[in-house]
Amino acid sequence: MPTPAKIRLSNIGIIFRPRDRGAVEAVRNVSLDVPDGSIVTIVGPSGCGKSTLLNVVSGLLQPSSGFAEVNGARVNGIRHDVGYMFARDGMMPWRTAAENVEFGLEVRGVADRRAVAREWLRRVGLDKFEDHYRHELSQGMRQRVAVARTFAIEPDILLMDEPFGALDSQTRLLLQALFLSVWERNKRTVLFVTHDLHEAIFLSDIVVVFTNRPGRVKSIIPVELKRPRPPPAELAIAPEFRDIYSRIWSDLKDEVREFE
Amino acid sequence: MADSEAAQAEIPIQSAVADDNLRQRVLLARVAVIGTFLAVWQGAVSLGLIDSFWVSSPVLVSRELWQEIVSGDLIRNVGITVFEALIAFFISSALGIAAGLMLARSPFWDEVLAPLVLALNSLPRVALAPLIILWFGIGIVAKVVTAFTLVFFILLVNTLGGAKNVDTDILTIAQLMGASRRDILWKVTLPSALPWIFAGLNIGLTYALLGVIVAEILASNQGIGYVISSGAANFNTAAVFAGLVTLAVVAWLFSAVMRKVEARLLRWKPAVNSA
Repeated sequence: MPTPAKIRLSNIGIIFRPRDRGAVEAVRNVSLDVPDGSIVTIVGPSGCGKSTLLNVVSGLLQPSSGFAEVNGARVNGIRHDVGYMFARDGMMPWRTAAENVEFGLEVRGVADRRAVAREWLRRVGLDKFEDHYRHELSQGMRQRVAVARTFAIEPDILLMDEPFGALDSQTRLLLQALFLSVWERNKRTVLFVTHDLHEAIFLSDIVVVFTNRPGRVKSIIPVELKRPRPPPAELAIAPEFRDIYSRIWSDLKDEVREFE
Repeated sequence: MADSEAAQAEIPIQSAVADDNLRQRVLLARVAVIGTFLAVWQGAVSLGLIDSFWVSSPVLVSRELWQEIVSGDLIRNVGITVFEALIAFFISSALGIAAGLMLARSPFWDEVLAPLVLALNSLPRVALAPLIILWFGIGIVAKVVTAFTLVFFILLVNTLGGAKNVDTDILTIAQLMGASRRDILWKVTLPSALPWIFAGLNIGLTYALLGVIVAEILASNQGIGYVISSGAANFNTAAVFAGLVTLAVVAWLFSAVMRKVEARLLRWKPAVNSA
């Protein structure tokens, strides 16, 4: 018996109707279950509506048809219990690293927020940079602040939209490993979106391949690699890994080619 | 990794080598420029090249200033003008910032009022001064109102611009983290708009002084503007120049204080120039 779905997408269709151009169908008839405590990653060609789906789950966007559920309840309006990360760090430049991590706790009225923020910054290796402002941090450090900020509010679910996409490849590997190690602590449910197949396999329990626009679910590929996972560079040469990689790629390559 | 990243992040902006040395030379050159100007002015008058009746002279202006200091007129007039300008500045800024934030929250009213704001902001508002004096008399109120018409719109326009330019990533994240509309206003929109607001405050302070001085010149019996206009009316150019020098010092002090406050409140900005 599989674990119950934490996030459920039911027949979601999204059509954008810009005022000055014709309608664009971004997503068509997407149904997807994200089991509690798992990491599910959506991969697909550019413009296939992956990010848009995250917005539906967070309540930022109302789908044109179908609906999303979290914990069995329909998403209706902006949720305040999701951790959201994207490629841009979203740091507030007028706040120090610690104050950025505190923000979510502050608006929730958590009393010992400074201590919590410090602890999370320590976990992402930024204990010496608590009082630094955004412009004093490297891109990798900013993204680590974003990781700390996201986990500090202990969100019920995590929505990650290519969170490491803007980093150089080495920093990206380090942050993927960091993210997983932090995630291992309490295993929140994660819906992740990426272009990077290595990243998808390294992090996920399930990889969902999307088609070209309008995005539909093409295939669902379980990643049966045991956790905790070895570092990405090590994992990448394991035969099971390469097996999964080639399965995903064989599904994805037609979509990518069509797109060109 | 942390160390190498830190090193990368903390490379100082430009070279700070011989900073003290440079500052000294700048200061010295400044004194030299002003000294030369005063010497040429005084020399031209002393040698009879130009008539001091028209341009006065540094000596005559100093003597006039000294007399005003001794008699207490200077401190009284400066006090009046500064008082009027600051009252106008604080009231207009507070209302201008509030109006800007309110319009930013209400796209409908922003749309409705945009042409009106643009028209009023483009109008050379000192042209309203005669009317304002007619309405409010020659007292402090007319000065404050004249300055208000200038400063209010500057702050309104700048605050609105800043409040509409909040990074959408930051807004999204703040909302998803559970920030209320109130939190967004105080913890996101306002700090994010602060550099814009300060740009407005800097100009606004200058314009507050301008508005007050114009009103004083048009109709008053006290203040620096009055000293200047009555000096000119009495062909006392030394008094006019003394008024101008006083005004320059007041304006300089205003902007110096403003820069200090700005450097403090915007210390999170990379490389705020506080020369």
